[in-house]
Amino acid sequence: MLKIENVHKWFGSLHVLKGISMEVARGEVVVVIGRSGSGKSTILRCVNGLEPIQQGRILVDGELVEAHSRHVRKIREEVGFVFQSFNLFPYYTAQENVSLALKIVKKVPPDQARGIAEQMLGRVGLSDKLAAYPDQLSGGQQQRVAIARALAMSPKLMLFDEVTSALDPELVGEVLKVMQDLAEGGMTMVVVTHEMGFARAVADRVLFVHEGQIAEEGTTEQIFSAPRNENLRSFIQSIL
Amino acid sequence: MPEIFIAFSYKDVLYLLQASLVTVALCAMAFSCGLVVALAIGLMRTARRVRVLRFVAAAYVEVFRGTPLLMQIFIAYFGLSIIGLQLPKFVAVSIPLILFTGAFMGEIVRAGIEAIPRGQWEAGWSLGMSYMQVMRWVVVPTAVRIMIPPSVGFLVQLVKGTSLAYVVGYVELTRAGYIVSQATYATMLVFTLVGLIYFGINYPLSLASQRLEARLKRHA
Repeated sequence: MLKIENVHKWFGSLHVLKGISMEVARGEVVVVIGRSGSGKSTILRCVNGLEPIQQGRILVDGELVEAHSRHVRKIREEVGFVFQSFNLFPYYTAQENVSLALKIVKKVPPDQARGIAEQMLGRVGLSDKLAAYPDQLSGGQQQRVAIARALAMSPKLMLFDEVTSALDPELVGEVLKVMQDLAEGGMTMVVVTHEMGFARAVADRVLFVHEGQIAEEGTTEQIFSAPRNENLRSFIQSIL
Repeated sequence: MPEIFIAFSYKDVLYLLQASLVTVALCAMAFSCGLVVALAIGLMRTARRVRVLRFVAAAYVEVFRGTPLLMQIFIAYFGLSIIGLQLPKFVAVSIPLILFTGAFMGEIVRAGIEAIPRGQWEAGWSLGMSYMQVMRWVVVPTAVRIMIPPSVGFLVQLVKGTSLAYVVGYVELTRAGYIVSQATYATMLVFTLVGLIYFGINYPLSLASQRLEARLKRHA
């Protein structure tokens, strides 16, 4: 589903990704962990072309991702992206946030788009908030709307970029629950997170990114119980 | 009072009010046409990936914002007539007003667009929207709300700015006041009245904008 081959990226003179290669199979849930600044979010942003890469290739379902190309829009329709800061559209209701892209990108008739939006919001437990504006919702609810918005496009792959990092602790659970349901429903997911409990419960595979490289990769069991990499060991200690 | 002077009467008030309609019409025309120019300028100035567009728009803004409107009207009317292009007064006054509005409002449009956080763009893009779709459906609805207060500020300036049309003899409110004061010698009275009429145009504008702002702010 996703294939990343020897990807390098520079921000100016800063070498942030130093030869990343990874694959994600259909239906697989891959969790990416690492310290802040390690490049883990940048990997996600490159996958849907929000950031250009300078070397290597990224393929989504066999299609080459090229930032700034016209074609990348087609790929983005099929790749859901959920941001740390929600990025809901402030002057649209929850229902409109979810249906907007259906209407203008997929040209779904308004009635049908509204129906899909209601269904998706129901899926994330927000059937009673269809008409609410983002500023009337809690952080956890906003993030669930953002997930519904991405799901409405019926993506083949979902990318989650530290989606619970901006939330109050008591709101984290409701968002993780939605993500866990998705994972159990067979969605292909790449999740950048600091929620180790979630990683343990849901991940098929865990990648540890350190200084722009994948320093270790394995099952949840291997990563957390028998880390080989020195940096991974100290990282795990620091967060437990 | 000598007989050659006509006493100031209600007819003069009517004349001034009539002239104020010319001012309002001139303003409405300049603002609406100028807004179209401003939109183009604002889009060009924020076109991140096309340097030429940014440069052309910036040059335009600097020229029309950096020179007096009075001079622009002069050139449009007298300057162009030297090279054989004699524009009707209305046109000679309208063009500079439109271009002037385009420059100032263009900057307001740019500021409104640039005030939108990058995350909003990225959210739109990651849903498969094009640049113009994000602009139209995501950026503009928020940017418009940011643009209202400075736009009304400019509009109020523009209402007063139309008085510069008097230099080419175009009869709007200020010119009408001049004519009446020449005829009646009631200078203080006339120009106090003219001032009040300008205020009577502008104050409702300010009030309307405050209302609009409050109504649109509900979901900021």
